[in-house]
Amino acid sequence: MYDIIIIGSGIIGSMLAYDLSRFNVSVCVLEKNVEIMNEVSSSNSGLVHAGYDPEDGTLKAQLNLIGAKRYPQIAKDLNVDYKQVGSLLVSNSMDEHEALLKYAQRATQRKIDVKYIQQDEIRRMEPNISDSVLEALFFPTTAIITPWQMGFACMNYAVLNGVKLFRQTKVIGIDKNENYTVHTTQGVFESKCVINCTGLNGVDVAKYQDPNSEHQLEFRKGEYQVSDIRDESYLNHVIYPMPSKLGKGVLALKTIEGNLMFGPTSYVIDNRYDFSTTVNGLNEVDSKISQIIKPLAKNRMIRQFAGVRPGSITKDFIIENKDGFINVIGIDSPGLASAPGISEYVIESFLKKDFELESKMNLVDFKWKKHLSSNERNELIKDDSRYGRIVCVCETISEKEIMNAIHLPVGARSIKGVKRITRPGSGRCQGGFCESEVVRILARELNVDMKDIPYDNDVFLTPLGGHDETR
Amino acid sequence: MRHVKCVVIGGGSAGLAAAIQLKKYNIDCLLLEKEDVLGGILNQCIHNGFGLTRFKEELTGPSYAERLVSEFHDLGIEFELDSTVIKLNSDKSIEYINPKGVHKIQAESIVLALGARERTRGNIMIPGDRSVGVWTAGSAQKYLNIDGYCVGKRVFILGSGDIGLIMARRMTIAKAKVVGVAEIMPYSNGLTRNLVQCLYDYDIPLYLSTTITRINGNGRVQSIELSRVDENLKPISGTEFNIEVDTVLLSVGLIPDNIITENAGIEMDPRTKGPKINQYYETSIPGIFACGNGLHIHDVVDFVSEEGDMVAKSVERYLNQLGKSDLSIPVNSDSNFIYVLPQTIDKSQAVKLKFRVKRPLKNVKLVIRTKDEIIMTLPKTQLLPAELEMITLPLPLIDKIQDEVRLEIIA
Ligand SMILES: Cc1cc2nc3c(=O)[nH]c(=O)nc-3n(C[C@H](O)[C@H](O)[C@H](O)COP(=O)(O)OP(=O)(O)OC[C@H]3O[C@@H](n4cnc5c(N)ncnc54)[C@H](O)[C@@H]3O)c2cc1C
Ligand SMILES: Cc1cc2nc3c(=O)[nH]c(=O)nc-3n(C[C@H](O)[C@H](O)[C@H](O)COP(=O)(O)OP(=O)(O)OC[C@H]3O[C@@H](n4cnc5c(N)ncnc54)[C@H](O)[C@@H]3O)c2cc1C
Repeated sequence: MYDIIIIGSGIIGSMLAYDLSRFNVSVCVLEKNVEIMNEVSSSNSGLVHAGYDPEDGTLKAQLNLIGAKRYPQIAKDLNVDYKQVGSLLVSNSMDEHEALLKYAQRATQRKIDVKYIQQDEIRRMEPNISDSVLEALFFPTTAIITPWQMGFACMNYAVLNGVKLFRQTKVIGIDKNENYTVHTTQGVFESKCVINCTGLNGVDVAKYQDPNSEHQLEFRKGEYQVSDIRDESYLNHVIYPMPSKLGKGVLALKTIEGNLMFGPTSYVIDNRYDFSTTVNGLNEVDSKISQIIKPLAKNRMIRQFAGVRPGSITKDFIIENKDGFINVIGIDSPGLASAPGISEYVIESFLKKDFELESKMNLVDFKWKKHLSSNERNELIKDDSRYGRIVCVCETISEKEIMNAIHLPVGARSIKGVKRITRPGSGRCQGGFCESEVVRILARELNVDMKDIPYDNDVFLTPLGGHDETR
Repeated sequence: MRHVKCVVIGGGSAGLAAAIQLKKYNIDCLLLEKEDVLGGILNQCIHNGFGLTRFKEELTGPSYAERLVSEFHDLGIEFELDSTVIKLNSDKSIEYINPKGVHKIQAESIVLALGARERTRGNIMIPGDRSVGVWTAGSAQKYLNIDGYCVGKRVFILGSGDIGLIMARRMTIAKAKVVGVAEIMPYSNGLTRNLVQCLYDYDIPLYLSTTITRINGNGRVQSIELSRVDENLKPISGTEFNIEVDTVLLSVGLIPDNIITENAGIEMDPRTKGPKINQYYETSIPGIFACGNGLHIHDVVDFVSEEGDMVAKSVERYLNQLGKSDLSIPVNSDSNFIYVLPQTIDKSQAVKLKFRVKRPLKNVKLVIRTKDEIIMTLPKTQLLPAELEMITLPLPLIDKIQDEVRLEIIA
């Protein structure tokens, strides 16, 4: 019996777990996948938007602002990357002048820093901006994070402080008597309150509780391209085109690690688990990006991927409390930026009414281990030589750092998990050199055969993987 | 900080040959290798076909490597394993990491023998699902030959270069069903010998002018969509067909691996993807030399080692300050060539030019000219992109060179 069950460990579930772990309530998180942060929250732009574009009066507008305000402190407490790089909202035609002014005005009303700038200054700030860009708004507070790093850090903190996480535990039904009984592929869980933050499956899970629920989601795919360029000066800010009814548009940014990333496209799809990339989508990214910055050589691309937005047809987040069953669904952009705001809202508006939330004493600190500097590494090697055995050359990651990723409170169980936590396989060779070594270390540390190490849910090295009897 | 006459980075067939030769010139060197064994990529190439030129016999990859490694040990050359160079500076200081610590040393000269990495799905942008079961041929080779895991049961291979062909046979021997090999060009880039012994002998179909246009399968690969391509290598719509497979191996080219080279500010050649060199294999930073697959991609390991030998000679010249002229004459080529090495020459010595052509050419003349004067004409019955061509320009011809050397093909 728990006080609260959180279903789903995307950024919303992870942030809620983080916030709730500091109160005297018992919480468990149920996640269907082998790794947390592995659906909508892992395939997006990683932007903490300044908050000027959601329409007035929406939850999106309200919670984006709170989220953006809370993130710097959370990042500091957990030692995760948060970089306020600033952004330029650029316009390519005088037709967009009115819209630009509208956003400037809205930003001012919302007390968001903004500055109108013209061609000369734009070029000074961004030498590689496209020649057709005429004017821009500069938002100094736009920030970038690595979404899964933020989510992993939150969940590790939560688990260290008493939250129970059950992975590979899919919720398949819900009953309500006095309490909620949550049926899963790993048995039943009981609680007084349930929070549904299941991203792409939000409406399905909502219907387990209320079959008459009328919420509807629309799934929009967004495709990206990532390059290996680590040229510090190629791009300094996030560059947004003018938003349209399809969303914020195809933008250009430099990730925390310094890779250039272009995307996302936006179109409605039927199959919500369609993470495929397409020729048309990738071409659209190319052509749209060339309207805002000067093109890059094609051969610098190292990866393409797609994410799917679970948007509500009402165009706003759905956050509601139905008899202790709290839906947090329809969380599309700016869901990442809003996550700390959403969590705070759920706690303040609903949970504080149902529970006497008191702050816990003796909280355990959790600090994310950032990439080591040469000096730090040299010190660590004195105690453990495995810090000096480099496995991933592209990203300079040692055997010991991979072992650490496996032995976190929420440790990696798959190749994907290791890649998310410490990055081997994210660089130029995309795992070509180091993947087998990563599998070997996972197998050794988890004490299973290499072929039983998953890449991701239920997919292994050999086609039959764990079921392969031939070896 | 420790000082070393010469540091060789990379202990594959290029670096080993260079170090051995340096020792013979009595130059103290230190070889740094990131893996825990010497030999480089050869250790996983357990098939036959190495060493015909250098050792006059057909060896497997590991035994070719073993020859170099034992000579290397016999000469007592200093080396460190598990040692990854993470930074190369233009003043020739080097930072590397190994289980003993993070080290910084000062070299008087450096040989880069870094090897190559393989092109990935992301590099060639194959659209489709985010499926597991897509590997580079070299990764699958490593899983099979080093770890003992055959990663596929029904396998399709993209790319018909030698590595693709050899993996078709290797996977078949490991009881996988290789259902086909696709090649985007209208011809295979592999040796005829490999086509016969790796595909035809096992009835594996080869689809020419064909490429993979989509990978399908949430989770594991389930099928691929193939399309025929036109003369511009663009897929022709309407020609798509699907094949069910659980694994796709990519053998779509190697790229010289040069992260540390680029970060040192050494000038790169976008065509070879390696550093630009003069005829001494010297990069744009004097005293830093390059050879092997890290310089440009080789098909035959014997020539990799030979390049190592030649670089050692250049290091010796450099350390003994044997003059080199101030001339830097560019070596250019017409559009028939992928690249020509070296990028510049100085006229003081005979030069071995190495090049690759873009497409197969039959019965043509290779012309080497300087300004308006043709200095050499060579009839060629056949030139293939897969084969690295080499020609030596002797001194008397070098004397004729004015401000450019240019390679051209005429019918
Ligand atoms: C292309 C794209 C770009 C975006 N860019 C940005 C951006 O730059 N900034 C921004 O603020 N927002 C952005 N977003 C939006 C943001 O990514 C999402 O709003 C946010 O990640 C949603 O998080 P979530 O936790 O609701 O969903 P998810 O991350 O999908 O988490 C849901 C979790 O629930 C689990 N689950 C589902 N069903 C069940 C079940 N039955 N039982 C147990 N577990 C279950 C899933 O496995 C998953 O782990 C973008 C979105 C996309 C697609
Ligand atoms: C799959 C495959 C099949 C082949 N088949 C044949 C064949 O049948 N016949 C034939 O003649 N040739 C064949 N070749 C070609 C030939 O084997 C290679 O061209 C040759 O071995 C390359 O040697 P190298 O020394 O340049 O590179 P490598 O052997 O790759 O050596 C480079 C070394 O440098 C090390 N290194 C790289 N970066 C660093 C760093 N930062 N710090 C420290 N060390 C570093 C690497 O660990 C590696 O050991 C094949 C090649 C491949 C890849």
